[in-house]
Amino acid sequence: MTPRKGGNTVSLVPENSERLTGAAAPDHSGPPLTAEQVFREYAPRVYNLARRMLGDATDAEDVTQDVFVQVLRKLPTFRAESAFPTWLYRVAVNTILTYRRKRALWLRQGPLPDVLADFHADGSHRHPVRPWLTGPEKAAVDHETHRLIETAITRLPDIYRDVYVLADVEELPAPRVAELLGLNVAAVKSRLHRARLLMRRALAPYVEGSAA
Amino acid sequence: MITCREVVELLGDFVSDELPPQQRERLEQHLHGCPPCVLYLESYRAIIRLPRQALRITSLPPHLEARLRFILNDYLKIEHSSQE
Repeated sequence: MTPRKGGNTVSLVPENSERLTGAAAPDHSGPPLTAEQVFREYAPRVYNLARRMLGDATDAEDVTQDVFVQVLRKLPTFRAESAFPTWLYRVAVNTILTYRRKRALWLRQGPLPDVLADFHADGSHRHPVRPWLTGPEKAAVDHETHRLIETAITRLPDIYRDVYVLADVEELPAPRVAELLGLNVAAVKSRLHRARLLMRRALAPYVEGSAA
Repeated sequence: MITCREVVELLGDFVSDELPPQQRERLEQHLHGCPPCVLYLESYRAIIRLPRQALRITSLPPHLEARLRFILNDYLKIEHSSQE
């Protein structure tokens, strides 16, 4: 399966599409959307989103199929590709969250880690801070970096992973993430910051150079 | 003078340029005198940049692709018959 031009982007929005906006309702402008297009271009994107948010490939397969069926059912009344990604995010995220609730996957959640434990009582750094060896060229081609990031995302606590995947992987703005997850914007920003600190802690041993 | 811990707590708003001017100024003053926090800021920026650079859409697993193709063909058959 080969996504069309822009298929290397991570988000549900192909590269040449406009970024997501607050508009959520389908409209009837833009070229018509076909079922084949949904299958070729959007199903892999939903699968990747679900895999990252659920942290499990098998669960992601079930969700992708469920979303695909929902989308095909609505397709006769939804023919405008321009508004499609916005709507698709809502369907996909709702399906992922519902799936997780039904499967009681939240139960596996342990206590949240203290992301600011790396500081002394006086607020200074507890450990030496080292430079990161992550040039743009390295990250773009390094298969190992890709694997490390995917693993670190999987290990994030659910409440941080949801926000991190939608904001930093899918690149959705905070108000949109808040709307999709039923949170306020301040909570999204707070969780995103904590998710980034945990990602930093997880990746640091692999990308740090020697101390400055 | 704010502490390193306080700097780290403010990094999210700092990198998205959402800090009030006075707080931004205090944070920048701290950075001028604290090389570890400068390195921390750089790694924080890398954490934001990395997934965008390194992650790619992976294809559907073959068995899932086959399942979706089966559903798609059913849908197209129904669509076709309703147009006749």
